[in-house]
Amino acid sequence: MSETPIKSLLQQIQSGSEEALLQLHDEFATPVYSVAYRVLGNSQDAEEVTQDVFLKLWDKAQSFDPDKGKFTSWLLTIARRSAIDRLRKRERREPPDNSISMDAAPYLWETTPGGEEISDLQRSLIGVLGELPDDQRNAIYLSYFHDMSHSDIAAHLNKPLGTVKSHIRLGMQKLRSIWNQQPDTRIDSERR
Amino acid sequence: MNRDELLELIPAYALDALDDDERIEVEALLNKDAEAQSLLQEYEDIAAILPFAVPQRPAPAHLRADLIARLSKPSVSLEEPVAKKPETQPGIEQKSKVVPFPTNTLITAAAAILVVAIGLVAFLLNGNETSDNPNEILFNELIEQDGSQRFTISPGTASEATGELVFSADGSQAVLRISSLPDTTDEESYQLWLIGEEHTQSGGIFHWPDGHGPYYVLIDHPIDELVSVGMSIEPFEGSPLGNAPTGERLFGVAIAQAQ
Repeated sequence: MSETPIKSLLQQIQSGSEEALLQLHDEFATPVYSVAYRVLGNSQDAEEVTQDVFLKLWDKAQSFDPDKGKFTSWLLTIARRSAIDRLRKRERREPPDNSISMDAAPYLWETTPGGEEISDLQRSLIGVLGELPDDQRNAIYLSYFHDMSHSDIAAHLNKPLGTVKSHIRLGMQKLRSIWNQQPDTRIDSERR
Repeated sequence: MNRDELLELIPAYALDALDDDERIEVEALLNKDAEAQSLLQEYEDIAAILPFAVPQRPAPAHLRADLIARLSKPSVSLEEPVAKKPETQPGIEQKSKVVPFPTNTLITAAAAILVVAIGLVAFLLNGNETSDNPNEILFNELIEQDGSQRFTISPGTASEATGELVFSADGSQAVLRISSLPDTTDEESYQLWLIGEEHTQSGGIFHWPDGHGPYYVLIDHPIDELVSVGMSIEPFEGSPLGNAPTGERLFGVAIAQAQ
């Protein structure tokens, strides 16, 4: 779904169109649910966060600013933050051991992000993400999806704090080097 | 920390990974340093791709109907917990909705006897019965074998599946024990994937009556040729791609990590 029909649907939502909201739900419920599940690790919590996200969209569709980024990125950021808020409310738990095993090799599993919403650059970055050393990728995932700080990650992985800091820095720097090699290094052309 | 050290923390700041003391110092720099602000913008753009790298799990079908139901309520407050609250209407006696719970002694005793009987049957079925499943027999042998390598599958990431993958000491073969998979329809199957450095191949297509299990799957493949083992739900005759999953990923275990 391209940005133009999304803009139109958001305007319809502001006018009270439930059908417009449901169209966006049909298109984006899966990626929202996937992000929520990645953070929370169970279907019940992920379902409730997915519900929350679309209710927020119903209530605050006017808050999306197309000049600040693409709709999918905005929506998935809300999903992640909502999931992390929920994670913080319940007792902090260690991610299951095998979640690292699974996510340490995302390139082994074909992902299906929104087709028109994701650029070739993003696809390249996802590929590079899969090729990062496991330590770097795990540290990035633990911080981003499990709301862990440097110290939390160091304790969880039983590694020195400085090592964890290096993993995150080097992993992100590698992604940035790919990012800067591309002529258009913005997710969307509208951003300055 | 000096400026260069703070600039090095900006990637982690974009991921919300800083400890409190670090974050305060970085934010102080961001408030006054244009280069730091520009750098943060780049790393935030990069961080924004991470949700796209998440394996996709189909949203449950009932969420759409649930959303419609929520929208039809008189007021939809975002501050309300999603968990449903019991609805009451003024003037309506709640006790008319309460079904008296039977307290008859004979009924209670009969229920207790039934529970005991069910437990006894379950014990007889699952107790010390010797399995005639060769894969289960091999699994139990490998568990006891010195030098065997074991990988645990825990619920949480992609599904509620639990199990264990055990490789023989010489790494020539393995048995996967798996349970608590999602149920499939009559038009679907479970497909095992053996993922190597260069290619992925099917480890078998299975039509189990349900996802409960446990099921035992022989993997007649050397461990040193595998990077990961996984399972997905595919059409009845398997993935239309042949050498890659197309359906819902149920679990994946990276073998290379633990070697």
